[in-house]
Amino acid sequence: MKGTKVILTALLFSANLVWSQADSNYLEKGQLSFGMRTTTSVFGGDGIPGLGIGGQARLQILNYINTEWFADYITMDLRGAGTRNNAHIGWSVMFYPKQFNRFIPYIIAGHCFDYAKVIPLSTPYEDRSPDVVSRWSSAVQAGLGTHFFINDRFNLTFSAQYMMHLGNHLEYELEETTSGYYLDTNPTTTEPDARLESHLLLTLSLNYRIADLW
Amino acid sequence: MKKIFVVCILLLIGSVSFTQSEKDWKIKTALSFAPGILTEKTYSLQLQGYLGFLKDKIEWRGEAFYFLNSFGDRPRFSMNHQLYMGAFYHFTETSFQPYVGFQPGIALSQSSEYGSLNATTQQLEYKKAVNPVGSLAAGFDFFGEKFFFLFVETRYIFGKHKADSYPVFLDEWRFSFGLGLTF
Repeated sequence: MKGTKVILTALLFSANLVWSQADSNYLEKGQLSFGMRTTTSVFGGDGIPGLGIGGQARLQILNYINTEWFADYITMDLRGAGTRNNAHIGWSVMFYPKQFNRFIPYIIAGHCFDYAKVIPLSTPYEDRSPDVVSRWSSAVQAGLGTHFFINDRFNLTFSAQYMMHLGNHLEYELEETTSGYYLDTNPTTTEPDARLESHLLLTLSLNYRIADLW
Repeated sequence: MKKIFVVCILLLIGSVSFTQSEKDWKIKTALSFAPGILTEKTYSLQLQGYLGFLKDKIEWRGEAFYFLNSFGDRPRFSMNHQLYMGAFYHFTETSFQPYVGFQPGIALSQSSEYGSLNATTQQLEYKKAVNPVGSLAAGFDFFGEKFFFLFVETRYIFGKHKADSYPVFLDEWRFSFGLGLTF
C-alpha cells in the first residue's frame, strides 16, 4: 500500500511539474520556431513604401538571447516609372531585457546580404530592358520589437528595424516630367552619393515553436 | 497483487490520456471555388485548395489559388495565381469555430492590359512577375462528427502587380465556401 502511495505521489508531482513548465514560460533556451512575415519598407531614399514577404527561423541560445535567421522579398512601385525589387537574407540577435507575461519586448541587431534590382518602365513603343540595373551589397540592421504570445507555442511579433546598406548605391533618379515620372538609371548629372543608403523595416510576423532542443 | 493492479490501472489511464493528447490537433484540407470582387465592376474566379494544421485554437494553413478567369468591365489579368502561408485564430474549440487570420503570400501575375516592346523581336510582351501580397481573412468552420467540415470564408487581398510595365493593384475581396476533409 505504501508503494502505491509513493507511485501515486510521484505521478501527481511529475504531472504538476510538466503542467507548470508548459504554463509559465513562453521563451526558454533551446526553443526552435519557424514563421512567416510581411514587411513594409519605409523612409528609404525614394520616399516610397514597399511591401514584402518573408520567413524566419528562431533558435534561442539563452533564456534572454534569441537568434533570428530570415529572408525577405520586397517590391516597390517607383511612382509608376519602374519597379525596385529587394531581397534580404541574414541573421539577427535578439535580447530580452524583461518579460511581461505574454508581452516580451526585445532589442534586435544583425547583418544581412542584400540584392536590389531596378527595372524602368517599358511601353509598347520603348524597350528599356537594357536600362535595368542591379547590385549585391551587405547591410546592418538594428531596432526594437515585441512578441505577443497567443498561447505557449504561437506568437505574433512586431518589429521596427533601421537598415543601413554598406555596399555601393544603385544610382538612379526619379525625374518629374509633364507626363509623370521618368526613371533614369544612368544619371550623368549628379555626383555619386556618398551617404549610406538606409530605410526602416516594419515587420509583422507569425511564429510557431516546433521544438525544444535543449 | 493489488499493487500491480493499481500500476496497470495507472498505465491504462496514462495510455488513454496520451491517446487523447495525440488527438488534440486536426489536419484540415479543402478544395473550393473562390469568386472575387475587384474594382470597376470586375469579378474573378479562382480554384482554392488548402492544407491546415489546427491545435490549441491556432491553425497554420498553406493555401493556393489557381486563377481561372475574370470578367466584367476591366478584367485586367490573364494570370493571377497566388500562394499563402499564415495563421488563424479559432475563437472556440466546439464544432462551430469562427476564426480570423492573416496570411502573407505571393502572386504570380500577368497583366492583360499593359505590354512592353521587345526591341529584338519587335513584339509586345506581357511579363509575368512574382510580387508579395497579404490577406486578412475571417470565416467559420462547422465540424461534423467525422471526417468532414463545412467552411465559409471571406478575405481581403492587398498587393500590386509590378513587372516592367505599368503597375496594377491586385486588391480583391474574395469569398469561398465548401466541404473539407479533416483527420
